[in-house]
Amino acid sequence: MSVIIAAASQIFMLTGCSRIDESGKTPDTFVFARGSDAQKLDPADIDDGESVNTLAQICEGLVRFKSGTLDIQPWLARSYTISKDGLTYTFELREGVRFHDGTPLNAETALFTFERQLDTTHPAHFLKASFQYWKNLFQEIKTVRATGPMTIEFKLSEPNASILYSLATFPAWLISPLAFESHGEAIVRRPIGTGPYRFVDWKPNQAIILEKNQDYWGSEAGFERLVMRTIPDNTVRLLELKAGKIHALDGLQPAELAELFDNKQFTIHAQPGMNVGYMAFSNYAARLRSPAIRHAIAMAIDRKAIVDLALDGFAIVAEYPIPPGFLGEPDNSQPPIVHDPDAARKILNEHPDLLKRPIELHTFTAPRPYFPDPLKIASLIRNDLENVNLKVEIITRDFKSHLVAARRGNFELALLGWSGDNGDPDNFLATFFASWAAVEDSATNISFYKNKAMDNLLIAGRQQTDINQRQKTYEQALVIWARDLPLIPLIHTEQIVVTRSEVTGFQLQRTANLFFGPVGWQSL
Amino acid sequence: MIATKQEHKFNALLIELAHKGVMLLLVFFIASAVIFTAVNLVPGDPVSLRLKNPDPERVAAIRAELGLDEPLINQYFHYITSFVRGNWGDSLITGQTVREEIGEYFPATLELALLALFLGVILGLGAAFSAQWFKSGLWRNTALGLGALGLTVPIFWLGFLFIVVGSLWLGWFPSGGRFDFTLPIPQGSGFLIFDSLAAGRLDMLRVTFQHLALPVCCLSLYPAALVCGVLQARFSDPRLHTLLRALRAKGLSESRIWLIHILRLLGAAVITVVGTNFGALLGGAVLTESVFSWPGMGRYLVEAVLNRDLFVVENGLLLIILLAYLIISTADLLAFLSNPTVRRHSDSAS
Amino acid sequence: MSRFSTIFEYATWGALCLSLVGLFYTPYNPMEQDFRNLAFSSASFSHWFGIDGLGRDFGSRLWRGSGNTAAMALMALSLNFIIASFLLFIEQSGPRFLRRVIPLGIGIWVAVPVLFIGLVMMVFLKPSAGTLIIAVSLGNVPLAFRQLRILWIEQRNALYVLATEILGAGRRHLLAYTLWPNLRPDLMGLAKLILAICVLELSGLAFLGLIGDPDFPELGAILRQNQAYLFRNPMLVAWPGLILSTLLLLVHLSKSRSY
Repeated sequence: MSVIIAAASQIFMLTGCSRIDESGKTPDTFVFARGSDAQKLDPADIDDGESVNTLAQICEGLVRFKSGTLDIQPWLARSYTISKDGLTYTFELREGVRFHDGTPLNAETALFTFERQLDTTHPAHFLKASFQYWKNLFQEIKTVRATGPMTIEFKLSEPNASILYSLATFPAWLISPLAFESHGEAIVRRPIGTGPYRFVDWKPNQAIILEKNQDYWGSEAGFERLVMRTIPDNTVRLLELKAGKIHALDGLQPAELAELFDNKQFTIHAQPGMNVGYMAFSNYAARLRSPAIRHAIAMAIDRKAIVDLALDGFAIVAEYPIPPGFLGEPDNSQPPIVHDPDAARKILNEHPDLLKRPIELHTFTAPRPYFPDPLKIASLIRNDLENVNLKVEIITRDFKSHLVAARRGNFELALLGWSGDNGDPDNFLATFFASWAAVEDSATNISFYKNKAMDNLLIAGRQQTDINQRQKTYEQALVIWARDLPLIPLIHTEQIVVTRSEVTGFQLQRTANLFFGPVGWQSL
Repeated sequence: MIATKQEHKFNALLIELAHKGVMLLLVFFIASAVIFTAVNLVPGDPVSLRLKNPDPERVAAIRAELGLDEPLINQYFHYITSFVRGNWGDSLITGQTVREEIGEYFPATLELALLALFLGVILGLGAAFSAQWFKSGLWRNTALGLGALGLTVPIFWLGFLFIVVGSLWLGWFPSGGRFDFTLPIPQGSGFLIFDSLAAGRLDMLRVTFQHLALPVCCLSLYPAALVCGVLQARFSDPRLHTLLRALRAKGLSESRIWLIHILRLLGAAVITVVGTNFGALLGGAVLTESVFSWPGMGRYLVEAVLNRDLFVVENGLLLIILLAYLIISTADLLAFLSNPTVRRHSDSAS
Repeated sequence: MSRFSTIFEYATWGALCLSLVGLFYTPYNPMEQDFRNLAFSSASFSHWFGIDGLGRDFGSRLWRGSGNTAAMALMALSLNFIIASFLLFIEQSGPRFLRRVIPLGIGIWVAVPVLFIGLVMMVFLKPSAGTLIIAVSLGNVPLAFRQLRILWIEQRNALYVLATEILGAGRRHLLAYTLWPNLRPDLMGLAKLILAICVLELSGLAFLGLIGDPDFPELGAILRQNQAYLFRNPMLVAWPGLILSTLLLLVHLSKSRSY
């Protein structure tokens, strides 16, 4: 019986009729669906994409990245100046901006966002919040104060060229101090910002409902309401899109997009994200320490095949541990790692002791922005390594358990990745290679690579303000990386968002933030 | 004074209740101890695992704030005393109180599970009884085959099938979620059926049922299969046929026989099998919730375990186990009430 | 209809054996991604079920997958019965204290869904086929224990058994000739039920991703790996489900009672 039903359903699926609303009217509610719900809505204490993308409609920063680029443009601040020594940043705030609760934007109200992260005794410095981005991106900020009714000034302890970029990212998005006074800790669930949409309601694990901010200082939002729905199952999410119940979605596996390619009703927006997925060697694994062996293993892996088979082409091969176009990227055309299994085999044949025990490749089950299918990627790598006569054992864990092992260096090979925060190379290179990032249980330098020369270059790169100087510094850092190879960068995964073709004004951002403010509707 | 049969029954019931009460306390202590041990044996610190780039100092401060630095014994006492008091801590991920979150997700799962159970029992009864009515082998086997669908087809696969047929092809049902967002959500108890009725809004009720239809049907097949199986086993028992003959010989009408005597006899079996497998129903609920994007406890707890959301796992799992235990005990008690002879033959496992 | 049921019983054994053969022989290597350039091609003469998304012969994967599912479920079933019988044996013939404690433990155990046992085990042990087998068999021990207990008590105290005892039958004779033939059909029935539950739970847990090796061919795991291809080549998703259902349907339809 079940056989008949199944066969019938397969036939029907193939001829399936979708139910798009073809009335041509502009809907007054824009529905966007993602695979999981936001966690919190406090810009200073989040780090998952869903929370950030929800706040992206509600909150704004002093500056922002020009749409589609990594260039800074003034936003809530109408202008800014940086002192010659790079230690003082002054922002002139825009007039006539109000938060969603009516609070006017001025120096005093703007300070709230920063003071609560900087000052540990501030009442809004919640004790259970991590504020990890402040420590990570803004540690040089010594003081922040109002130097005029609409002027605020940041003083740094050391110059850091990336601070301006960091101020465009979500931890620096402004929230209303009045909201904290009225609601206290509940602001974590009810954000009040200055953006094109305002927060209305949050049904956990179902949807977050926003409505148009009628008093928005910039161009009016395109819809009366914006609903951000949670649909965990990819297949179901796609079905809802095809049925016309939602207007846009993200988080699909590349393989699932194949049948949308020729469909004129949908537009696939894809661009390489500011991320890198890599395979790390642990310094604690003695038998893989030799750079020759590491290079051999790197040459054995067919990264193009990973892009084609595991990501269906929705990624690019990562030549360096930083995304393409970043400062520090060498402009010579000779990539540091080439795919050459024969050379790899020759080198590895000289190390027969590697065959005594299978090499452990650690991976995890949950999809991440840099690895939509980590299991498949591990599987392809294993095949490649077995092609050069190595034996590989794949150890799979849930993501958190994998992270525990990774952060302790308890592996020989491990898959992991990183999504960039502010577009600065330091955000990648110091994360991966700095010895201060190699602390057990909180390491982001999971290779536990400690090299004095590298450390010096990274510190210098942070403090230099001249762009050409920084370029040279980071190029040198990459030379050291290519020599010691603590990790093999594999791919830069593309961010994929699918929208109905009637949706206008949508543009993918380098930071992977989704902005629906400028989005509108145009019947086909 | 010689006790009457009623008094005997009442006394036996009291003893059973007392027995179950003691067991409940034992379940509470043992389950909480096991959960607490498991949660603390797992390597890794949930506070720092939450963060992309953890700062050891800050992590230590947060751990101290949450009381995770105290000796384990103190933490355990704090855990059980605050559980009983209803203070279930905060989620490490969302910052909301666990109580609030469970209050959101629990009615969703309960609504789904109870309706599925109800429908499942009816379907199982229907399949088993119709198998008895049909004389021809083909129809009998078809009824039994349909009745056993829940034990032959994987629930996640079936879920996809339902979505494809019911939502994509027929378009009658939505493919997931609990409610539409074009209408305001009925507020109140969290049970959308009651809340829509209380608000007097038939359109809300209709949307609620539309969203409930597919997941409930999908989940109901498992209890249906269990009920059909157990009934079919009973029907094949020759003693039942002997009883039927005796009752017919006594002169009772067919309907009286079936509806009163047989139903009471079989009722115990049905209640027992359904109650005992409540844990499996919860497992099925997790898979159903995944496929239908149902915002329920099952998915919530699974994600909490995978995300190492400490307090959610500690309190949520304990709650589920206690609840499952209560349901199983209630099923046992009901079975006992409807047929005291069950006591002699069934296990005294609870 | 006993005629049909015997056919089904033979068919079930046949299907199980056929699946198990897949553990030792398949037309192609189910793990080797030899046909990457042919990925997603549909059924052809040399590849009866086509090629899957990573370039492996799908038919071989399915065959090995059925073998693994069947083998894992049978192992879980055996482990389950062994543990449940052992507990029952202790409870029936052990000291008084155990006779109270074991039903107590079972009473608590029964309230924990298998899924959570599987999840918790996965966080502790390495996720692997073995972990799943242990989780699934342990999770169903309360069910088996309860049913075995009912069966045992019913039969043990039946009049004909007491009569045989009085007639002077020894323990072994009692077990082998009196009790066993009458227990056997019910045991087979219970075994079928638990086998079905084990297969479903194993696939369910594999579907949730709790199996260690991503390429491990098990029907639920194959379903999970191919779910992304639902629209590109739906047969990649349909076949594992169909095979699973067919296997279970056969198991279900084969009767074990002789009347």
